[in-house]
Amino acid sequence: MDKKTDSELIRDFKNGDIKGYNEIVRRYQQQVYWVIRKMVNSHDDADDITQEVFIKVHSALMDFREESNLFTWLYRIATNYSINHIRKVRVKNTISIEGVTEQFESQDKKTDEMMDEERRRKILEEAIGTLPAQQRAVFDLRYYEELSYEDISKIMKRSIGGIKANYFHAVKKIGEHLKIRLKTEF
Amino acid sequence: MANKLNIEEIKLLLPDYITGSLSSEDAALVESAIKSNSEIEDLFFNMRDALQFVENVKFEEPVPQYWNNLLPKIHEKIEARNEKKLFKNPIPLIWKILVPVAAVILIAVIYRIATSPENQITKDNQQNIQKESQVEPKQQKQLADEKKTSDTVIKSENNNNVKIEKKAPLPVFKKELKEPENKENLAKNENEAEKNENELLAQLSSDELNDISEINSVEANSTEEELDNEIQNLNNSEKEALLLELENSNL
Repeated sequence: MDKKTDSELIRDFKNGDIKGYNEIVRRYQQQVYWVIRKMVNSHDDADDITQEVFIKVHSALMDFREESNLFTWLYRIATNYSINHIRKVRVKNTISIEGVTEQFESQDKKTDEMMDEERRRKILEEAIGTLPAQQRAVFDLRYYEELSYEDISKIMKRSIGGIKANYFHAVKKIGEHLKIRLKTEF
Repeated sequence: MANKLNIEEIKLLLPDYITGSLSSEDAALVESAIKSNSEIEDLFFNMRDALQFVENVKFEEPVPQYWNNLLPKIHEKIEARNEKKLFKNPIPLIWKILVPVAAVILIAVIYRIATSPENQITKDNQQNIQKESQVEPKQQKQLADEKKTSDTVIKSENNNNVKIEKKAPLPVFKKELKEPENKENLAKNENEAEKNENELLAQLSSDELNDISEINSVEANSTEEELDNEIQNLNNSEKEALLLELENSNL
């Protein structure tokens, strides 16, 4: 049996068939989850935001006019929700980078020599955490999702030049942070 | 200026050059810039190290059943929010406005209906008072009687459900009781009539008085005889009826 296209699933949902919506969730849940997860660096936060994204999709799908692709629309919602979450957390977060460094230093004594996977991830989270929300979203969509600049500009509703500049500055900042961080590490 | 712009443009291409996302033409431009420009060279090594580090970091996968449970969790949340919406706003806003307005209008209508007849009566009463002050004393008496009867009728109507057996008192009788001056006038008139009668009797001669007494006694005797005859003519049932009538008449 042929898989239904996104448009057919949307039409099914608009005709009152919830199966259309369920299939959309199943089809895109992993992609949406990982976009969010790589931006917010936490499974629990990613889980909450993923659910919110699909609840939003449920309420707004009836009015979706398919002017853009479904995945572009989904990524837009996911990116906006993630950026809002990052900004909220940044306001609430009182732990400074120095504080985080101290935490890692105390953990380093326990693990002794090798940087394990957990520590690498934490350092990367820390590096990505220094980026503004917009740059973080662009880095995620370009590096991890490997989307074209055209698609990213549609998702984020920004110019291609602006997206390219965001990506460049994101990579540069991550590099600078890691350079300092890895120097102190070894 | 053109070189600087080119350098800035090439800088923006560096991350894509590292990930191998550039066309061969653009990649060749970047390679030549890295060789010729130390700033770009430093940037290139810095970015390359960073992206290599990022590539080596693996994110922890969620448990496999997470993907199966995600859709039911989403549906649960949607239902919960729909219920919450219904609970939060069970009555539409329009009803919240319309119901109190309708209630106020209803109360106003009931109040108007309840109060309007009384207002009319008071106006009538005022008109009657004005009329009373204008008309003569005899008419005043008549109007007062009418007023009393109308008051009693209205009162009896108002208290219809409670005191139906309460009858309105006779206006003349009530007036006599209420006005002792009228009583005194009647007594005076009776006395004056008696005096006049006595004076006339004193003026008459003894013969005339005898004639009058004879006439009175004949009249009295004839009437008594007639009554006795009539009573004798009545049968028993008619006699009993007559006796009852006499008893009821308090004679």
